[in-house]
Amino acid sequence: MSRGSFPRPWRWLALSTRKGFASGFPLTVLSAATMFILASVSVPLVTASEAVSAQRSGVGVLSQIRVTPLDAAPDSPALTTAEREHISKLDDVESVVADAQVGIYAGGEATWSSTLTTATAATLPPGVTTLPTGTEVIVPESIDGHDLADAVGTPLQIEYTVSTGEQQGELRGMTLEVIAAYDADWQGRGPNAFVGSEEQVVELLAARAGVPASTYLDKTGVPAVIVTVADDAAIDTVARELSERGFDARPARDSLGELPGVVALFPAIFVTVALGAVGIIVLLVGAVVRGSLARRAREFGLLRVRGWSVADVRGLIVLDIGAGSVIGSIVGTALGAVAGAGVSSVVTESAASTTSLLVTAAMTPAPVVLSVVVALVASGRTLRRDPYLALVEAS
Amino acid sequence: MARLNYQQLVVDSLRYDYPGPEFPDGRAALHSVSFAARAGEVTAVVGVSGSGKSTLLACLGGLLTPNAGSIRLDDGDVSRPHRSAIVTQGAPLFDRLTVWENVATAWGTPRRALRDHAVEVLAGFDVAHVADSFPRSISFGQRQRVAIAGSVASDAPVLLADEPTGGLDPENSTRVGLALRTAAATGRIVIAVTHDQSIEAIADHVLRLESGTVTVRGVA
Repeated sequence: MSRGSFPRPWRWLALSTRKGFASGFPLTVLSAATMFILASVSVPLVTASEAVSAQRSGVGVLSQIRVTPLDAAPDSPALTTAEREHISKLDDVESVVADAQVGIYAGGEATWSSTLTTATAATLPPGVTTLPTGTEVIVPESIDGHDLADAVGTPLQIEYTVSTGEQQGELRGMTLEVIAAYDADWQGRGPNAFVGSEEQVVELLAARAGVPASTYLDKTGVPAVIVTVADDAAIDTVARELSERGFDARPARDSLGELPGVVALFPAIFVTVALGAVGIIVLLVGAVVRGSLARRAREFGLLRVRGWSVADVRGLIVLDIGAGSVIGSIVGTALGAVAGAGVSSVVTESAASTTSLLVTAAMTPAPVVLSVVVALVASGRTLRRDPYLALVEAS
Repeated sequence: MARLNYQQLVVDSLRYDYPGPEFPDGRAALHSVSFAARAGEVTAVVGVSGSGKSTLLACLGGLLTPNAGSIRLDDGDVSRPHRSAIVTQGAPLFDRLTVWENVATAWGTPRRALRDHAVEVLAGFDVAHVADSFPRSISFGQRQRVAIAGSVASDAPVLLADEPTGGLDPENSTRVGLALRTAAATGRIVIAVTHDQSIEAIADHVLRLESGTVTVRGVA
């Protein structure tokens, strides 16, 4: 028969793993747990950071201020055309867009009701990139059981209220042109909202008030405006000037709930978890190496007798720990990425970004490298005494 | 694949000093040891504890590097690991492998296809019936013979045994002695370090070590 020779470290690792006397399993578990936690944190962290960063630039939500008249102050100015022009001339103000909505109803035999709300570039529904103009409108794919997804590109009959006197009104019909439909689960502009042009919303608001649109804009004024600030750093200054002028000015970044605060906590959480993991890995690898030498002393001594060098034994220990860590890191990263994507969808209402997955994948080798380095150092220290001599003395 | 048909192992002026700070002037475990061991024969190395027997064996097996002298297999260096197989004291085997798997490691990673061949080798040492047992479940004498069988399974032309009958009763000592003779009969050079007179009895040559020096060379 063809004769081979005594197995080298890689084959011995495979044999010891198959027979259940390898040492790397604790590192598999630890690396999996570490990468699961890191990936669970890093995926939403990077995704949210990207989302926040995107909203800080250009026409992003976080560069906006919502301005309304102060209800409690009788002398608070209305957001008339003249006042909007004044606001638009403030330093760093990029645009001033009406933020208003008006009730609309299904035309014909349909029975739904909704609101037509003004669109801004920063608040368009997901997947929609075109701002509606004139009678154009963006609709939810379904509303009150009525499917509107097929209405894209077709005219849609609606009804709206026209004032006919003090506390009196009547419904009138008109046709809107549907240019896009969005997933009805998105409620960024309120449930079932139709998103239309400022011009159209103002026209319906004016009709409800029983005045021409120009009169409504010049005398009554819109209920609120969205002021977009060109320079992120100027938001506080612009908001203060608007407040001094008698408006309630609220930067969107202050009213986005807890998202910025949560996002701000992520780096601290991430660093804490990472440092904790490093400490645990160092301690555990050291313990595994020492334990391995104690538990497998006879085996290592016999390997020396079978022709292995001390370096071969050291190589086996490092391979054992490294391989265990590789498997654990890959499994932990995969599971953590899935969990992180879930957290992302809750925190940012969007899927995990490609960048977040790449960043997380790039971290995968970290526990492996750390484990191997610690294993090299620990095995170097503990193998100063030749395992063969330990075997002879034990005999 | 190593060849088995070497004629002799020649040790010439071998010296080994224990290293380490506890021996600042060097402590010679072996002084100018010279001898030759021939293929097909058993050479017994005897001597009291501390005489340097195990150190000599470790040098012959390449586990320790001599400070001076040479160990040659015919005309070649013997220090390469596959040139010698060592049966250490206490019959250590891999506890998590079965007996036949221990033997089969001589040919690589144990696999089912190697079992019959391993059993064949074990049969030559009268331990085929424990092929599927684990080392801890067989007797000490059986373990020792399994270890010798494993050494014979390898291609190593030199078999080095360190106290192969230590702790064995006379009957089992005799069996181990016969196992060493069986190994020598395959054309190997067999060197056994021993206190046991039964091994001396089956040896072709006896080498006595005292304080690291060869004092007697004899023919048994």
